[in-house]
Amino acid sequence: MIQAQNLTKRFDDFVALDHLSCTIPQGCIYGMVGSNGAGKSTFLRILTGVYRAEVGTVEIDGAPVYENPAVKQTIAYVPDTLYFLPGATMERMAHLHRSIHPDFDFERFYKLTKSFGLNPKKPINTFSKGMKRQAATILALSAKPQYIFFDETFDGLDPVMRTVVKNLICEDVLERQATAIITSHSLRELEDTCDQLALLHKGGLVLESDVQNLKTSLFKVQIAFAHDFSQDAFGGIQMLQFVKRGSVANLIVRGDRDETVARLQAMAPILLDVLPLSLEEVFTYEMEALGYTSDVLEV
Amino acid sequence: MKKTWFDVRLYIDGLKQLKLMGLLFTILTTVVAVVTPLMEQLNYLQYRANYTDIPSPDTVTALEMNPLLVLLFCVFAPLMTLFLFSFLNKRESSDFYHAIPATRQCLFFSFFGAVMTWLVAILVISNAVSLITFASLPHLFLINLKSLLLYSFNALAGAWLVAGAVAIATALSGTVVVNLLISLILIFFPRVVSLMIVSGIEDTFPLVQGLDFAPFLNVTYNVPFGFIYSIFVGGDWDLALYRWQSGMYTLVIGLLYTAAAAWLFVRRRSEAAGHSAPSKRLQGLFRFLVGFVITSIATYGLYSLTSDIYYSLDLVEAGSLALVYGGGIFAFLVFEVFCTRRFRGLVRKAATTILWLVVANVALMMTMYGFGRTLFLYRPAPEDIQSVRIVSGMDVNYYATSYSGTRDYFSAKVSEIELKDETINKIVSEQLEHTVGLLEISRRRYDEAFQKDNASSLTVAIKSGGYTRYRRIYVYPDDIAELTKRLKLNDDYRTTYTTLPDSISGLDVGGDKALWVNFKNNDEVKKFYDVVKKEFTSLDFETKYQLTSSLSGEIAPLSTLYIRLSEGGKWYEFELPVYQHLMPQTAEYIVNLANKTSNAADGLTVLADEAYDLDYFEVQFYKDGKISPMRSFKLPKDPALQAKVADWLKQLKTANAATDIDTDKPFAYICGQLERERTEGKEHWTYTEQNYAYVALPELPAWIYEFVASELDIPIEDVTDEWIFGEGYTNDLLK
Repeated sequence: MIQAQNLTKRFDDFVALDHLSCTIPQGCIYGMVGSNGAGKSTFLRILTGVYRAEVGTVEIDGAPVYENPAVKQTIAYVPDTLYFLPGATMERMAHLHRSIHPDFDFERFYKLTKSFGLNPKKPINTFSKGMKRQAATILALSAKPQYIFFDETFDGLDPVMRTVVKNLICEDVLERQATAIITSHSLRELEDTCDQLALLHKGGLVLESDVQNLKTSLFKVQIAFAHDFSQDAFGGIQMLQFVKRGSVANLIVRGDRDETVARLQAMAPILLDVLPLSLEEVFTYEMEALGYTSDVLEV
Repeated sequence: MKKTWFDVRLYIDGLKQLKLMGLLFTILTTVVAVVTPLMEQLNYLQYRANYTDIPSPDTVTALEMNPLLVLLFCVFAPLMTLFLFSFLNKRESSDFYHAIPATRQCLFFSFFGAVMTWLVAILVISNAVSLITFASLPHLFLINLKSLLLYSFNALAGAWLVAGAVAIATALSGTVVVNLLISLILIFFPRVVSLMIVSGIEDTFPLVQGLDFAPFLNVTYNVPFGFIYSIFVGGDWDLALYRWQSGMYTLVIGLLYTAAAAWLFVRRRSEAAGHSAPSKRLQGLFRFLVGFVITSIATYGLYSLTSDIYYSLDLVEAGSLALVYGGGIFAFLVFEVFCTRRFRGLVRKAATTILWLVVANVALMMTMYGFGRTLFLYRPAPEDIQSVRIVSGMDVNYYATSYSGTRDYFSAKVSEIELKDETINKIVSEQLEHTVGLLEISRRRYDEAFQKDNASSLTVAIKSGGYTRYRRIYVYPDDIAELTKRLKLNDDYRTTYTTLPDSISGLDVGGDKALWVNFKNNDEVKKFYDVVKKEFTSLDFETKYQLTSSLSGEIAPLSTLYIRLSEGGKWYEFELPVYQHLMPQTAEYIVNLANKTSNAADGLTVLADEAYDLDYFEVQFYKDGKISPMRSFKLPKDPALQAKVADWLKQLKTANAATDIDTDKPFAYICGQLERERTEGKEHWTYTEQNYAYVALPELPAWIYEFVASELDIPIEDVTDEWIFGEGYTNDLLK
C-alpha cells in the first residue's frame, strides 16, 4: 500500500505539490490525470525516491521511500523522459537492471522483446520514440516489481501496443498483486485500465474515486411530463444539475439507478430515458459540483 | 549494509561504463613505455656495429620508464570521473540513477571505486610492462626501483586528488562547463593562493627559503599542481613526482576531497541537473570564486609592488592592476549571464559579489603582510642555537628531496652534517641579525649589500627550539675564513672532504685537450677508479680538501674526472682535478689511455709526415710535476720554426713517442691542424682536420728554448725551465 500524507514540493517559487494526501491500496491500478504542471511527475518522483518532499511523508508498505533501497527495490519506474546508457543495447540495459533488481527475469525480457518485435542487440539510440517507450516498459516489467509507475508512458504508444501493455499490467496485478500507477493527460486512456482515478490540479488532489463507482453512481435522465413542472417536483432525488428546455428536462442524478428510475416512473412521465455518462462527463459534473470550472479538465 | 555503502553490481557496471576509456588509456601508456627502450636498443645495436667501445648503461628515472603515467592525474582521472558522474547533468539520467535501489552514498562510492580501480589498473599494467622491458635490457639501463615506486604512489595520489575534486564539482553543479570550472578551481586555486603568498613573501623576504614556513606550502607538495606548474612556469617537477611527502600530502587532500564529494553527493537534489548551481547561494559562491581567481592576482601584484616601503606605484603599474581587478569583475558578470541567461538582477548580484571580493582581497593582503612580518622575528641568540648545517649554494628544496636531478656529492654530504660549534653559532646568529637588519631598512639596501659590502650569500639550516629553519644570510670574507677554519676542525667535515665514495656509477675524463678517454666497460672504470682512490688516500688533508672542494690554483690540471654515483636512490656527481705531480699514477693512466682510445700514434704519424702543411700547432710541456702554458703557433708565418717543429715531430715519430709514456719523465701534449679539401661528385669543400697525442720526451726540444729566447729577447743560455713553464710558477695549488 502506498500512503502519501500532506506532500509538499517546491522548486524555487513554484509549488509543484501542495499538501497532497492519498492512499493507494495494494493490487490497484491507479490512474492519475491532470494538465501540464499539475504535479503528476513530481508525485511519482517522490514515490520513487528521486525527490524528497519538503513537507509530508510517503510510505510504501509502511516504510519511507527516500534513501531506502529495500523499498526502492520493489519499484520499477518508467519516466516521461527516458534514459538509457549511451550506445547501450536492450541487453546491456537489461544487465544494468539485473544489477539493481535481483528479480529481473531474462526469460520474460526476451519473451517480451520478441512480442514487441524489438531487437535486443541493437543500440537503443537507433529506435524510434515509440520503440524506446516499449523498450523501457519491457525493462520495467521484466524486473517483476511490486510497484510499477508509468509516467505518461501510454501517450507515446500506438493503440495496439497500448492494449498489449495494459494486458501485461493487468496480468501482473492479478498474478502478483502488483500495484500500478499510470499518469496521463487523457482520461480516455485510463478509463479502461484503471481501478481508481485521481485528478490533480495545481499540485493538489481535486478528485479521487473508484472508476466503477464513478461510472454507475452518476447518470443522466431525460424526462418530460404532460403538465408543466419544475425542479421542485423531484424532491428526494440527489441532482447535480437540472436543465429544462421546453417541456423536456435533463437531470444529472447521483444515486442508485434502479431506485431513481422507479421513483420517476411513479410520477407518470410521458418521456423517461436514462443515459450513461462518459468518464469525462462524470468528472466535469463532479468538478462543477465541487466549484471548479471546466477548464480544469482541459487536458 | 548491503547497498548502503557499496554495491558490487553497481561497481561492476561502473567499470563496464569506463571500459572503453580504460582500455584506450592502458594501451596508450603501455605502448609508449615499451617503444622507448626498444628504440634505445636499436640505437645501441647500431652503435655497436660502428664502434668498438661499449657504452655504459644509463640510469633511467621512473619518468623515463613510464613517461605517460603523468597523464593519470592530468587527463585520465578527470575525464573518467567526469564521464561516469555526468549523469548528474541531465534530468533523465539523474532521475534514473536516483531512482535505483541504492542509497546515494552507495551509488557514489561504487562509481568512485570504479574510477579508482581503472586508474590503478592503468598504473599497474603500464608499470609492469615497462619494468619487464627495461629490466630485459640491463646493458642499456640501470633501474631505480625506489623512484618508480615513489613515482607510482605520487601519480596515483595525484589522480585521487583530481578525481575527488571533479566529484565535488559534479555534485555541486549541474552543467559540464561549470563542472570543469569548479574542478579547475578546486585543483589549482588553493595552490595558486598559497603560491602567491609564498612567492610574495619570498620576494619580499629573500632570506627565507621556501621549505621553511609550513613546508607543505611549497607548490610541489600538490602533485598535479606542482608538476603542471613546473612544466609551464618552471621548477622542480621531480619534487612533485618523487618525494613521498608530496604523495602523502596529496593523498590526504584527495581523501578529504572524496569525503566532501560524498557528503555533497548525498545531499544533492536530482532536480539540480541541468542548472549551473542547485541554489542561488551556491551560484553566488561560484560567481565570487570566478572573480576572486582573477582579482587575487592583482592583489598579489599590489602586494609585491608595495611591500617595500621605499617603493611607490607608478601610473602604468596602477593602471595595470586596475585593469586586472576590472577583468575579475567582468569575468564573473560574464559567468553569471552565461549560466542564467538573464540580465535581470545583475546589478544587485554584482554589488554583493564585489563587496565580498573586496573583503577577500583585503584578507589576502593582510595575510601576506602578517605572515611576512613574523619571519622577521626569528633571530635566535647563539646560545639558543642547537646546531647549524651549511646548505651552501644549493637549492634547499631540490637537493633535499630530488630523485631525478643530480647534486654535488660533497656539498650534499656537508649539508647533512650538524655542526655544534659555538663560534659557528655566533657567526650565524650575528649575520642573520645583520641580514634581517638590512632587509628592515629596505629591499634595495639588502640587494646592494652584495655589491657595496662585498658580501656573499650562505644558506644555513638553523635548529633551535627543536625546529629547523632555513635562512639565506650574508657573510663577509672574514666570516668565511673563520667558518672554514672551524669547519676543518669538525671530524665529519674533514672525513667528508677527504673520503672518496667507495663505488661509483660512471666516470668521464675531461679537460681542455682534444684527446678523449673511453673505458671499454665497467670493469675498466672500476680498475681506474681504484687507482684514483689509492693515490687520493695517500695525499695529506689540505691537498685532498683543496681537490674536493673545487679550490684550484692558477695552473690547470692535466685532466678533470667527472664522477657520478647513486646513494639511497639519489644521484650525485663531483669533479676531481688530476694534477700530475699529486697523482702521478692516475695521470699516467689517463695519458696512456687517452693515446690509446684516440689512436694518438696515428695522429703523431700524420703530424710528422705533414708537418710542413700544418696550419696551426699547439704544445704543452710537462716536467717534474710542472705544466707549461699551452703555446699556440701559426707555423706558416714562421718557416724557420716550422722546419724545426717538423724535424722534432719526425724524431718523435721515429721514437714511437706516443706509446707507453712514463709521466715521471718529461712529456708533452701536441695538437696540429691541417686544412683539407674534399670532392664528392660535383661538391667540393674544405675542412679542418686535427691530430693530437701525448708524447714522451727525452728532454725539452731545443726549438722551444730558441723560441722563448727570441720572445723575451734574451740569450738562449739564459732561458731556464722557469721561463718555459711560466714565470713565478709554483706547485702550490692555492696560488
